[in-house]
Amino acid sequence: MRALRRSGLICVSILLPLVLTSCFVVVDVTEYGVFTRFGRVVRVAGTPGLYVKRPYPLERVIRLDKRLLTFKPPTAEFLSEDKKNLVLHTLVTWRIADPERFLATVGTRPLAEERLADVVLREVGAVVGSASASALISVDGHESQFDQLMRRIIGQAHALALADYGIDLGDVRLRQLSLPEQNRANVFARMQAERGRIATKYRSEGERESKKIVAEADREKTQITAEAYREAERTRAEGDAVATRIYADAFGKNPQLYEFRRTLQAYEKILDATTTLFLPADADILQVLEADRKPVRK
Amino acid sequence: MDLGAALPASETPAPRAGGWRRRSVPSAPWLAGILAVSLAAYLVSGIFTVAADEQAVVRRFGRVTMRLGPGIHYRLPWPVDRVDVVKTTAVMKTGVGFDLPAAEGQVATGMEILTGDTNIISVAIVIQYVIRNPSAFLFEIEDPPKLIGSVAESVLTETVLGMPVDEVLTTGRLQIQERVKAGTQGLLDRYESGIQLTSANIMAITLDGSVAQAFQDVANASADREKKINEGRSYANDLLPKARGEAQSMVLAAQSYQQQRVAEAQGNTTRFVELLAEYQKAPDVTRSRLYLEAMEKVLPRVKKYVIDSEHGRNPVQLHLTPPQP
Repeated sequence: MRALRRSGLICVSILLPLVLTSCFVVVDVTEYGVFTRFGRVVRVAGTPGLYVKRPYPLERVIRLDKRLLTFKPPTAEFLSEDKKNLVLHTLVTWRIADPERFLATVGTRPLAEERLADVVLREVGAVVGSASASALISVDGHESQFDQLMRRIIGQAHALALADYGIDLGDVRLRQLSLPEQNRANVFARMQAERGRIATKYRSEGERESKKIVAEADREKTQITAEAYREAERTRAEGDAVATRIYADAFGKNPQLYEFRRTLQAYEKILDATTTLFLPADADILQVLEADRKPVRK
Repeated sequence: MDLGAALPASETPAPRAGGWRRRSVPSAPWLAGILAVSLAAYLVSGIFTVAADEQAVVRRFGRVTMRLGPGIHYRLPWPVDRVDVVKTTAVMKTGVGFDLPAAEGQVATGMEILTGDTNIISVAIVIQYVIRNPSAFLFEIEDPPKLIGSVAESVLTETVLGMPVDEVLTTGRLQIQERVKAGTQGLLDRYESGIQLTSANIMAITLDGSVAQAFQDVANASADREKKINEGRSYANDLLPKARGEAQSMVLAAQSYQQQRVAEAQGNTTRFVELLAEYQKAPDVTRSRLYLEAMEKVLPRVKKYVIDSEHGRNPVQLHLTPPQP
């Protein structure tokens, strides 16, 4: 009896602290504490702090992550409206919004992610299937169309996830978009052809541009020369005109004298050693001779 | 202040320890000593330091109570308070869509992306970030580096999907970096992650081996084009100054011709005008003088015959000297 009492005492002294500590529970800032009494949810602690509960077997606490969680659904291939295969890698950010509902429907994170993947990929498939590939891959007006598609996906998936699983779907984002493996060779071949075309275009452009510059320079040179010629001729003509005027002004004062003097000057040039000159006896230069002779003859 | 706050709370473990001692081992002074020492050690374990580049966040029973800067601090030991220390000034790095190479020399190819004109390229972007708000960083999101990487990946994909490949390879690099940084930051702010991006840098843009050569050829062609154009320009730069020089000398020659003509005219007429003045004073004398002077110059050079043509008479006997040699 005594031994029984003693062993009972030992049992109590070991169990009591355990039971007492199980009455206190700390709910961290990063988590929800869901208090369940034999599986039934009795309280959800959304704010962090120290909580008191009934000891262990009566009440249990299930901790659920309150933070923003990221999850990458499996990569999947979709067919766009214009029958192009697109491989989409998505990213989902989510948090638990309604711990009770979450616990009741999915309970654990792996299961939740599985369900989320179903919901999200179904919506992605629906939205991508109703849009042409150019809404996702295009050079102009890309931003608005892309945003619109993503917003449609989120809008529909968000409502579903919240209602069904108590999950607040933060974002569905397109992490990566690629083409199916069997299309890659085609893409690379096309890229190569495209580059070849561009290279040829550049080279001929260079040729053309260069020729244009040369031709332009030649034209400009011709113009410069022509303008200079015109200017030079004009200057010369002006010189001639001025000179002529000066001559006319001066010689006009006595044309006879000018003619006389100019004739004499011309003789000086015209008559040289090879010239034979027949002078009439009554030439002016000889008049004096004649005059001399006259008295002798008479 | 931390110590003051600690004192009332430290009462909690003490009575329990005392009660246990009284019941099981009534009299053992050395055991009391050990208990006192271990209690002191327990309380002292609440002292911690925060380095200059760090910040500490203290949680009491799971609730964030304090954010502490550098220095020595006190918090209640486990299980009451918990402290997390993060480096807030250190810049951290993460690769977008790829793991950063561990060794320095390794080259990262990054993630494969489709451009707006359906070209496949690989872009390696590295994001650098600092912790702006330690408690948000620690408690709001699950795995910050992973989140940053994934979100940036999606922004990068979205950006490049709207760009032609030429832009991505040439002028668009800055734009991509800007947009990845701004877009990722915007999303991280929306998630209240407490993360501040400092930069998004493109480390490398690589092309598949089968098309790299073709892209290189385009770059060469572009260089060829520039070269051709420069050749044309240098031809023009050589030609035109020469043409201008020639044109100028042409004009100058004409100007000097003009001046010469005018000067000549002036010179020639000056003599005539002077002569005229003389002539007007004595016309006959001057006229004769001019005539005779000219004849004097001319006649010595020429062979001369004097004929009496008009009257058919015999030539007169002249006493003229023969032409000078």
